[in-house]
Amino acid sequence: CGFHLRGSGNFAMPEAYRNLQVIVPEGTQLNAWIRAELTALNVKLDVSGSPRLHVLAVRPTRQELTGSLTEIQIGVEADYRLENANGEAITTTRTVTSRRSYQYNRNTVSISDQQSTMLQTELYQDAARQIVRQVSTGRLPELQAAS
Amino acid sequence: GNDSSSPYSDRDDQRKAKSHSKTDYLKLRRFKLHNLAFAIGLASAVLAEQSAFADTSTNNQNNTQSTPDTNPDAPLNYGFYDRQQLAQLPAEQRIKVPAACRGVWITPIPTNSSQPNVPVDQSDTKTRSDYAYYDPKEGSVLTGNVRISQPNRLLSADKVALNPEQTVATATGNVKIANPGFVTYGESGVYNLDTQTGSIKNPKFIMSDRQGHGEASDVIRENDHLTRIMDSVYSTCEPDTIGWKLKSRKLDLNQETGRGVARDAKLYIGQVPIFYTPYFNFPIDGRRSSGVLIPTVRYTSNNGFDLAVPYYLNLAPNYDATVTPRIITNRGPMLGGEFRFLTENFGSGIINGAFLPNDSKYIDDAGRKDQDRKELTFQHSMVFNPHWSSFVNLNYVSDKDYFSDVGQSIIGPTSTLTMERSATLNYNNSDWGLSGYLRGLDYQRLDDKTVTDINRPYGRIQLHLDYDQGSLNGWQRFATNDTGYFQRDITDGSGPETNGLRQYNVAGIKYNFRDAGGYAIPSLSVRTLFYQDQTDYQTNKPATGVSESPTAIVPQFTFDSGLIFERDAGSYLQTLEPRFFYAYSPYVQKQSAFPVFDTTYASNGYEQLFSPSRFIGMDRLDDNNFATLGITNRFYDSNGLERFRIGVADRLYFSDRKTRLAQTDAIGTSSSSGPGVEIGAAWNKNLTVDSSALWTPSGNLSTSSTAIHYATDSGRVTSLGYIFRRNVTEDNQIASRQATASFIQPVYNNFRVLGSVQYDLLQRVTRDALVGIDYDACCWSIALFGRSYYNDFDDPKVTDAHRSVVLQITFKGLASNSDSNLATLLKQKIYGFTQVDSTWQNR
Repeated sequence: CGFHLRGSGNFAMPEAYRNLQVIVPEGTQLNAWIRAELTALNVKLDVSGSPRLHVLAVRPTRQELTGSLTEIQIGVEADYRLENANGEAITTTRTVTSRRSYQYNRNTVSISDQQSTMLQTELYQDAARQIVRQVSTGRLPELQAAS
Repeated sequence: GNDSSSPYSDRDDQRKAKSHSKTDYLKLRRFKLHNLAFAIGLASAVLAEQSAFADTSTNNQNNTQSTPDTNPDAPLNYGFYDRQQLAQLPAEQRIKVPAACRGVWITPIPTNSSQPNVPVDQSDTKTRSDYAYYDPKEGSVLTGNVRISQPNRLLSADKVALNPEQTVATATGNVKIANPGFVTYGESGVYNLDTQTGSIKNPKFIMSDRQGHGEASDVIRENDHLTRIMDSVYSTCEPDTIGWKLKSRKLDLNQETGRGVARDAKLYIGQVPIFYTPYFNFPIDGRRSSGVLIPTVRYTSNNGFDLAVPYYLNLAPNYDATVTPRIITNRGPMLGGEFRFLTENFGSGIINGAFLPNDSKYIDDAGRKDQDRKELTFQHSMVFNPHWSSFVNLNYVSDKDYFSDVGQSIIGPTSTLTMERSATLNYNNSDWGLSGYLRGLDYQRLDDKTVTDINRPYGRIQLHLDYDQGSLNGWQRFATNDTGYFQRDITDGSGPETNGLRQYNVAGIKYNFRDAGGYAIPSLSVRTLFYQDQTDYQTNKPATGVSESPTAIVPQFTFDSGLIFERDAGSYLQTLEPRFFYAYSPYVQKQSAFPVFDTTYASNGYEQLFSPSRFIGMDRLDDNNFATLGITNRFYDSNGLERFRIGVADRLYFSDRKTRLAQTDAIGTSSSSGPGVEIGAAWNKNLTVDSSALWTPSGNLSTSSTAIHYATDSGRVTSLGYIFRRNVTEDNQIASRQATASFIQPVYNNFRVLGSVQYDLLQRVTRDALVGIDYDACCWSIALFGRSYYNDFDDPKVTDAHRSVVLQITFKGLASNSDSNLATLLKQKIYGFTQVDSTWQNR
């Protein structure tokens, strides 16, 4: 039915992004996960003179319903774009989002909310997977050459 | 050509010269241009939060040097420019126009000037004029489009006369003095270079940075360090609109002491004065300055009319304060204060407090009236070196109703039942993969009714160490040690008082194989748990067979793996991603009798099917023998966006789950989790749907959640959500059904309507409803909101809903840039608010 293992067919990482510099704001796991996902695609990282995968901003989000038994939704939003070696944008800025929701009982939970800490890894790994996946399709909208 | 030192030039020659060459340069070494400009600039800068003398050291040398400070022929563009006029200007002078504004105020030299900042006596001074006259006895006169400039400094006038000694400069006719982001202009000015005194008559000024502009009757430089501005008016509004302005009768700026004093300052809306202060002492060196922050007016069913006017005091570059007088008609006057400090060797911190004496409305739990309401918090953080840092967090509040009654935040409801008191010493060394902390933590208990002692958090002293070394694409070694002493008093007989020492250890190794086509990650670890238990068995007898120093040692093996298949499906890329997860750890000890210091069950969800941890916390070591099979199907469009995703998974148990938090909890005996489904769809970039559902082994729906989100570039948002949870004992899930809806609807120009609602379908009650309008008028904005809500611990059957109306007016340029209370509230209530709001501001 036309399926084949990724990397063994036409949908591997585009030639232009076989080498990448990765720039991610400090302080989250996103950097490590993007690097792990890229390494899995045999992308050589931090090669000087190569295009940049630049994560411009990482925003944690959190929304809570009211009530002693409540639902908490945490998430991560990350803006990124591809740039040439000089830091000039090649593609438009994209935003990926990842969210998880869980039940929280304020009445009986005698501790600070630890589930959100546990879900952080999931969120950042998912955001990284989305970013790398989008880059690997080689189909991100490019900016006009003039700009 | 014209010799600048020639004593006399024939008028006709000058006319000729003018028509041939407009640039005559004359070097006046002693003309210290910056002093006058600096004095006047300073005078007006103090009214804005940021000085016009922003550091312009970040220069882009590639910029074209088209500003008039370096190019004497460049036009002097300043004043208010609408969008069309702005488009005609050189790129360097253009400023982004905020969405709510028609245009912007600009200055001849842009804020982000490309010129380096060179001290005045090391800069070349260029002078040009249509006519130059020099007489060693009478002095020099420059007339006709006179410009005296240095990089980042400029004086322009119809005529500038210098006395023979070149000590007094008199400028007349269209006098303009400019710096980066700043210009002041008037009819005439005099400046004595020797005494550094001078004045400018009827000056106006513009500061493009904060869009501040205004005028005064006089700017007088009294001596080399004192400048006086008379009858100044300051605003950030557009011309010909109803806005606000700040008038002060006299403003003294002392550069020697670094202090400024304003007298008789009044804030006007249109022509109506609304705020007055007779005396105001503030610094003039920093970039921040004192002033009124966003005042809040609200009306609540509980408090009546409630007005808070925060006043910011910029005391020194490294410490400041905010004082908030507040009137609550049903309760009385209240005073809040916040003090922030930053030190070189002793870290930074915040002290926050508030006091409301003799609250006539409040009756405490003991039935006492007229109690004082108060709060005090202290937070301090300090970085010793790249590896070591510390954080202290101390909180006190007078009673449990404090925050919902008189808390400074309008966000409410606040569910704080405990106030944290903690001190933490942190260590982090990424080279060694080592991090950890030593923490002392305790709580002030606020509510003795809602929560029994057995459900309260423990106080503790805890040493926590994490080691994680290796690569996410290869071998990874990890270890954790957590040693803590836990203490909690039980006085209400709700259970045995169990205190003691706990030590938790993990050591493991993991191999991460990741490839384009898939991944395989085996992980092996040993976990140990040890207690030195000091249970007070006088209140409750121990369960038989329970040791007083219980110990558990449990190895754990997990294996996570997946494959990624792809195919071209028309213009889409389709993937098929099977996943296999296996977890094994034996049941070795009867842990359900162990103490529970900080542990709970994890909440049920699709991702949880792939997690080996049923527990959140360190008091239980899971017994596992299960495999989860899942498959995900994704469609990516030609832009690489995931347009559709469906995942299906099921967990197969090969043994019962005997480890529980309490002996009364159910043992999981089913052989399967029941299926889980996760669906995500993006119809287009505006409309997304996310949904997931889990079923019980018997086929009942256990959990489901659906979120539909619609957002447009024009700032419109509609969000709908529904969450369903059934009582499932085996998963420790409690029934809950909540529906949510929120929207933002732009109405007309800069008006929009916003709202959100949370409806509890089990209790059939609207737990939280909010609706409001906001309007952005460029230099000010107004928001009016009504809200009806229950606090987290209110029982809607017993309590009435809290109702409040909030009015908030923001004077841009006077108020702080930080988020208003309303913005914070909406961020929590309206999904996607942040993103939409920034689109709205920049549209």
